[in-house]
Amino acid sequence: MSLPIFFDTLIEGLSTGCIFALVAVSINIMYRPSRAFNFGQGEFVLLGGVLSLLFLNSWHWPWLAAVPVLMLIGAALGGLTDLIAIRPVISRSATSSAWVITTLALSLILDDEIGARFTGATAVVPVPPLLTTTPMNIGSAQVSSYQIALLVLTVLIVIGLWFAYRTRHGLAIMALSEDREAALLRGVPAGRLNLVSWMAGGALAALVGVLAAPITQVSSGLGFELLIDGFIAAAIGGIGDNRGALVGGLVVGLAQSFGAVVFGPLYQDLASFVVFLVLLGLRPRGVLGEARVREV
Amino acid sequence: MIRRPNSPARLVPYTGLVCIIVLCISPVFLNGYLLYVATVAAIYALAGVGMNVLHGYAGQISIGHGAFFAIGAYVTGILTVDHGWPAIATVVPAVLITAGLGAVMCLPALRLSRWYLGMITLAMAVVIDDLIASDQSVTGGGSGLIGIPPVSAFGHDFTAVEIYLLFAALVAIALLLTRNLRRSPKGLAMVAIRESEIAAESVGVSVVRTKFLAFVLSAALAGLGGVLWAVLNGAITPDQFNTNLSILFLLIVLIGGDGRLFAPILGVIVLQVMPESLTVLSTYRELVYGALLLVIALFSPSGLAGLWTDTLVPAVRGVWERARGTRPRRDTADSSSRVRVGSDVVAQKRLTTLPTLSNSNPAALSLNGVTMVFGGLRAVSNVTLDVRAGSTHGLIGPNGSGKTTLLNVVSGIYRPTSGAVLVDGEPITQHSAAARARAGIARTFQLPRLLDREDVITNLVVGAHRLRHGSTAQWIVRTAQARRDEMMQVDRALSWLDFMGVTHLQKRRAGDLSHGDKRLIEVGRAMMSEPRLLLLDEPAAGISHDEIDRLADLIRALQSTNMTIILVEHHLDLVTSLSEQLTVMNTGGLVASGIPSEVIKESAVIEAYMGKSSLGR
Amino acid sequence: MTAAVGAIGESETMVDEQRILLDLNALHAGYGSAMVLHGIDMTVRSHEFVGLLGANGAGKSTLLRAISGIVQPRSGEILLDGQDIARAKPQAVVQAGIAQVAEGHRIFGKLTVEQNLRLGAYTRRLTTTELAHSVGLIWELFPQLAERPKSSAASLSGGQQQMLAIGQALMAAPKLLLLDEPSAGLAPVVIEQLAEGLRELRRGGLTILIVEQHIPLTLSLADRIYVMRNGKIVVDGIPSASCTDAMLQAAYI
Repeated sequence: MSLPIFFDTLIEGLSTGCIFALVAVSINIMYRPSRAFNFGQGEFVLLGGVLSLLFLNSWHWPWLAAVPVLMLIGAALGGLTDLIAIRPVISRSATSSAWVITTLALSLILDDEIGARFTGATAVVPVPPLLTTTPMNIGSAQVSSYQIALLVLTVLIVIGLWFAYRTRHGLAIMALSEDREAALLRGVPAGRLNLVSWMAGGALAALVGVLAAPITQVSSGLGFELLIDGFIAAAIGGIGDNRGALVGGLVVGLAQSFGAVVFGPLYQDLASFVVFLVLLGLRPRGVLGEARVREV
Repeated sequence: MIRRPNSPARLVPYTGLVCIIVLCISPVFLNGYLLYVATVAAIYALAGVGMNVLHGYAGQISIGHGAFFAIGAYVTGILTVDHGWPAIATVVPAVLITAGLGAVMCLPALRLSRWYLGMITLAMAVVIDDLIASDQSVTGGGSGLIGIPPVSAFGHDFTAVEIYLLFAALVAIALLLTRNLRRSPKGLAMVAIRESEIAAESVGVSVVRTKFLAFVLSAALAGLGGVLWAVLNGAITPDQFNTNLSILFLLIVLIGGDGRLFAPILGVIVLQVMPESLTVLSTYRELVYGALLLVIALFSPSGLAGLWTDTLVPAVRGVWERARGTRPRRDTADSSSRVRVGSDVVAQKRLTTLPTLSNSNPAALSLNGVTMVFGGLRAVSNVTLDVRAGSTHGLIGPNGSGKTTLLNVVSGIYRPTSGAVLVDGEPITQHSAAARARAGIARTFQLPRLLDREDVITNLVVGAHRLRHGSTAQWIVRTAQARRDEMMQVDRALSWLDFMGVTHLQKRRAGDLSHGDKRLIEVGRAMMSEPRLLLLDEPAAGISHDEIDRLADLIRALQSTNMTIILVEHHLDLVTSLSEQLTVMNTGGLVASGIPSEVIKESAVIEAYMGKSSLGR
Repeated sequence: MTAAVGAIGESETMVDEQRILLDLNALHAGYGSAMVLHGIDMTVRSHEFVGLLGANGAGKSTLLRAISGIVQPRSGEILLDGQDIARAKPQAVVQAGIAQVAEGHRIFGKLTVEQNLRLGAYTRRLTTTELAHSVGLIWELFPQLAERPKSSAASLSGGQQQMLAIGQALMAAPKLLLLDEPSAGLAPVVIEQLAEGLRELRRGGLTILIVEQHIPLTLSLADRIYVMRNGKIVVDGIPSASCTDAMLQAAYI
């Protein structure tokens, strides 16, 4: 592999890796207080991407005005998912896995709605002001300011969340995640914090959709692909761990980009999937995950 | 589940069966499009039968079986179109390849949480979907394969009606075989896994191996469905097999009802036949699937079949019996009641003595320097203990003393951080919990872990897991030997129920029992394995005074068979009166061990329980 | 130290000593098919130290969980200062002034000592200064914890974890402190320290209900004792030297 191609593949992998990392982070935010994995997360991200086409291209909103609105829509969706798909399941039995089915159900409904309204036309989505997707030359590499900003933003979000989970409410969520009953005894409102987390996760998912739009092709079927890539990223790093999600996302992104170059573009999904299976076989709890003691 | 009781009111579900049979024969009288729809429904039902084994019996979630279906279809397509094989010859390779792929696919996820498998199967389905669509050379890429030969035998091309009957017959055979599987030890093992993996392990079920079997079987059936699809349509394209198909398969068994026999049939009727007949709905397919999934998961987790047997049938039966002027049937302690086992009748014997244990070969247990550390917590500290074969050994200590942890080390749930566990002098320290159960170590739990959705008889029979004979193949075909084995176990179960005085509970759902009765059934389940070492974990906890007396009588009866028993208890009176040796633990270590009457007088013991008397105001 | 502890139970006054703070009437509760509490009647007066004894399986923990709202009672009343909190959610119970130190000192191992304490004050919405002040009071009460505020709670010894658990509960400035077998799994020397700490809190005016299997510890601390057996109260009285045998009998035999 020649050096320029190597760097191009590297940059490409890191960029898409940021997207995957953020999807994984958004899933982790929802997972922490509820121990439920949103099977509809891919659709949330897709919705963000599709709506950004609408807001930015069709309605010509400025980027900085559209993004908060889209994040609000994502938050509403996340909250709705908690109320319809998670809360009823958990209240019936704390250990039930029925939320797999309910969140899957919502993802289907959402996918249908998106598919019905979105014709699949690929358009060029404008990027935030001051940034551009045109690559500049840095040594033998070609990288755009957008890609750099994306990487910086991803790291900032992960760091920011680390601080957020050390505030009063953040600690309460960590407590809920570790020992739900003990947290309840401290007066932690499980239902409310869960709702807030699912809204936050939804908002982040929508943001990811907006961020991904300029560098990915928004198409139907993307929903499930993002879900799976996000899951693999989260699982590699240990589900619930955001620093792990960052690592996992970049691993998936790089596996896909190098896999595409080495084996052909048809096999990029396969490449990341195989990498995942191998890592899972070696360390089932994730790269940074810790062992869980069985309770009898 | 093992047997159907004999009662006129059971005509109601038989009517349901008759309806289904009529429904399945009726397409013979249709033609054209509707017959095609029915044939497709039969194919999907076949895949649904596999999903029923995976999800209904074993409780695992897969969102990727559409991929196995696709692979089955493509194997047939490639072999017939590109290599000129006759269609019938492709069945074996297609099934083998899909089964093999299923094996590889599920392995990484089997030890992880339930939803992990769901996600991995989904990922697999998407990846395979992509590969099929992109790979021009082998699969024909986007345009697919055409020219697959139609169904034929001895030179005669089957007509549409004949094809339908052939496929329907295949479904019927699959249903029969899975019904037999359900009643076999492997099937019971799957159901045990669904209800409680820990309970399943404690009776000797290899959880990973059983889940693996269920997955591979379901993958193979999905693959077979794909073969049928290919020969039915003659041409296959990638867009016939997207993730929606995988979701459809899951939905089929969810709607039909968790693990019920006819779930796949009910499921396809609702999902395939109805929407296709009303073409309007088919355009909103995803929406409908999503809405149905949501409604079922939230409101009726046992699906339509569950609605039928749990709500409608009892209601109709109640009406029928009120109309006849008889009171609705209650379970009665009828000592001469007859019980059906399949089509056989087993006359129940009235017992006053303990069902004889044919294997009274009690085990001796030794613990050498066992230490168990969890993270920073030293739960058990250097415990050395000897339990004589055939004796009852009591284990007491205040909360946090480590007694339950110690029991878990003995039963195999935990491997000790250091030290050894020996049975009859042989170290078993690294053996899994299931392996120990198969070697004759049985146990009960602090909170009873029964198969809540199954009846009491099934709960007992599953306890005999390690004693069952016959290969899975023999069970699926139900040879005479298999049927005898089943009869014997049901007989033994009834004997235990009778001995414990609770025969009337035999048909009750285990989840509906009172706490004390659940305890009793759990002890019964442990006894069904003819254990060499019995571990009882706080059996008297949370039960009433009379039930404690009943429990004490039961334990005394067990002692009379010379069994080795370890009894962890808080109830001092119970444990001192029943034990030959008493060990006291505190903060993870042994405080005293010896004859009960002396041990409880030892100052160290009094200190452990009651603290130093020097604590003043 | 007494003043500091008194400041923790800031809403307490020494005036109405005989006021009934907690009143349980005909309380029935259980889990699923298992009924554990069969009609409990119990009172705790303001500033009292009440002990609840009984063997395991008697239902003591279930009683505390019912009071804290983790378990919903089937029937009966739980009155706190006259207000029925039987159906209240756990958060509301803490806000009403009841904090429980659960069995097995369940602190959050993944958080630091200081974070655990801050979490204890979750329902109080304190400013940074107020929070630091409250944490400071806990440091005074348990100097061992003050030595390692940034350590992960999982690295503490059993006794230290128990102190942290009590400190956590105190951070909620409760009117009533519930303790579920605080001596469980602790060495006798540590139990002595624990007893001393509880006496301090008592002197500071805190109302305490302690559930225990450790009879002498309870007798040495409590003003009044209840004994539970199979979900019912069987003995209720004032501890004295001659009581010990009767207690033992009632609870265990």
